[in-house]
Amino acid sequence: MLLDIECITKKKKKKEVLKKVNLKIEAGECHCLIGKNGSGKSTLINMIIDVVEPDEGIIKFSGDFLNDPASAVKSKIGVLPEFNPVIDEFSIQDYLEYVGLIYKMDKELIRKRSEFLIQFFFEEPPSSKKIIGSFSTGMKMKTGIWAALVHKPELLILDEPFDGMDIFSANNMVSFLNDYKEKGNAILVSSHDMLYMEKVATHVSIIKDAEILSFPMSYFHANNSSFEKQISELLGYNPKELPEFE
Amino acid sequence: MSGVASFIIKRRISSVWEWPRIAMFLLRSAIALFAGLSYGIGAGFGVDFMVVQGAFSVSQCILIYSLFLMILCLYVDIAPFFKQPESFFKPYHPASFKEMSKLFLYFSFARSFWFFILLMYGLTTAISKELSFLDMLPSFLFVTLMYLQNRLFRLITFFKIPHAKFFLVIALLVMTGAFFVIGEFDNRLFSVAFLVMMLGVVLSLNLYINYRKIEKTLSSTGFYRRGAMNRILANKNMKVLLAVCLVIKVFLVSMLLINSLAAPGNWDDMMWFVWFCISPIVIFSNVGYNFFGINRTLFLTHILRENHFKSLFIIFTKVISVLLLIDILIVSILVLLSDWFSWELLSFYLVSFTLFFSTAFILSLYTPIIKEKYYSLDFEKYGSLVVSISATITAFVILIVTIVVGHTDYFLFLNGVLLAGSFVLLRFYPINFSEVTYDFLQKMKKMK
Repeated sequence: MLLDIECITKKKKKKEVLKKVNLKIEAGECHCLIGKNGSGKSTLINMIIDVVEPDEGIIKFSGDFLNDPASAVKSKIGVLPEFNPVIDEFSIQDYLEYVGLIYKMDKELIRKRSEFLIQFFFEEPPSSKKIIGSFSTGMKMKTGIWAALVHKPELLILDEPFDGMDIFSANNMVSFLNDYKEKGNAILVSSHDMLYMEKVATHVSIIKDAEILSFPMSYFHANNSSFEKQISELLGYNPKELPEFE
Repeated sequence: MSGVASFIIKRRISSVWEWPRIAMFLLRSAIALFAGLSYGIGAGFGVDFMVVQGAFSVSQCILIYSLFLMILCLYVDIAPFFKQPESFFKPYHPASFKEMSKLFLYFSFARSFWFFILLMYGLTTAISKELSFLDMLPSFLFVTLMYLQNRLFRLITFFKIPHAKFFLVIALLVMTGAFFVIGEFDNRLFSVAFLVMMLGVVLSLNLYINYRKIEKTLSSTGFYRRGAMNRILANKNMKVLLAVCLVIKVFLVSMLLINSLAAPGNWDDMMWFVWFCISPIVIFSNVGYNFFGINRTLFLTHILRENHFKSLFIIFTKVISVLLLIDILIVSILVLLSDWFSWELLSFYLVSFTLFFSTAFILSLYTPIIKEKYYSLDFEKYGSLVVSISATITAFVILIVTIVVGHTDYFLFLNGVLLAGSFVLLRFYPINFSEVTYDFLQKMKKMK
């Protein structure tokens, strides 16, 4: 078991955001986390990456606790959190090198992987003199994702990775994620974009009323209705009658 | 670990090492240096004229010199807040008014690291001789003056106001001229007139800066956050601020030196003040905050990937070491040109540096950096708070020891003990970065 979440509970202002949540992710799986705004997706991810503390429950990665100061578990995980911590002053190349050095990677290896990631995701690779601060939202997002990938983590966690991405980049991302999971790595993605989620997911975890419901993708393939419609129904979506807009 | 530190240092150096940037940096430094020197030398000569001609005592000069700065300080910090508190905070910082007021009061005082100079000077004077309120007042005002000048430079560098440096140079030249005139004519009417003029020039500049500040706050909500992020590392503001810090140091040094040479003896009873101006804290407390104060992104970059901040500590050490070398160079020039060298002074310099260095990083980690995104407008404040606390701790440790003994003749011995104690503590009780980081993370999680 790569990631094992057991009975996680989190309260915010006395309200339970997550209630006894369980989630298990194996190598080679891609779990898509879906829920309404404010349902607790980012909170769950923040707890997994040890930025927010759960009130109850435990989270383990390959049997180790993430927040153990003596452990090196974090080096096996790649994260793009809700807040994308790119350093605006650096160029992409510099930022990836900086992140790679934190993981104690060889400089030549960092350079090769940086080149690969930049070439793959960009139609025109940005100049090494262009700083991240001058990038668009989508480009910053891609930079954050590359920083999560540069050390080839066993578990990749992405919070809303498709936000701000153009259709080319998003499709490239889907191809990359599918290839990455097929090579035996696990992925946890949170997104509202059903189109891309359907293309990458092996499992879908829906957060509803502070609880989590997990389904394999075969569950959705067995039905005739569209993926988006099934998810909407599971979330309890009721189309509202549109009153006259005066 | 050192790879990360080397990388960040090299990148910063390489970003500076481009001719257009070098030219701009030199230009800015030259302007700042010119401003600082004109201010310092002018003030020095002004004070000297007045003292030599017997018009005023040193304390009176400082009193006059700093009176208008106190008003400016009040104006810059307090008036805009009470005029338009909502413009400053409410649009995108969901904090209560009580919270905002507390923060405002807290940091208005705490970030003024110059208060520690006042405290030290005042209290050590209290130990060494009979103290009157009038002895304290000029120092207090002088402290305020330094604080305001420091803040003014920061505002200018942060908001990139067009021609601001030019205005500042003009303001400082006017001040310099005013002192010459005061000294030459020894006329209180002239003094008042020129002081009013000085006040007007600098006040106008502050008014303009604050106007722009409010305007930018209202028009661009992302500005401060981006600004804060941009200031994580040794960025352009850092470079300019470094120049500013050096200028402040040069100002202090030039003022002290000129008066020392022109009117020997007048400063003998203010030697404590001289020492604190020489202290490396003056420079570090300006620059240190900028490096470690606002680095939410940098911290997050590391938090997501490792469970300790040893690499950040190495970066901090390297930056501080470079600054120390620059500071030593400046102080060495001063000491060589004056007759101020003493082992006491040297030991004081080392003690203040050691204490500052050993407390600043730890305090940085315990400052609620993450929380700033919720209701901080002035991103300088947390880092500034750190250095203020650090400087105050340094000051009070020395002070307490001095008070215990009750006689400054033991100062050299006590500093030696403190230094030895610090080294012994660091040697046998090294800082456990894993524990420090773990505690920091626990605290950070609770704030969410």
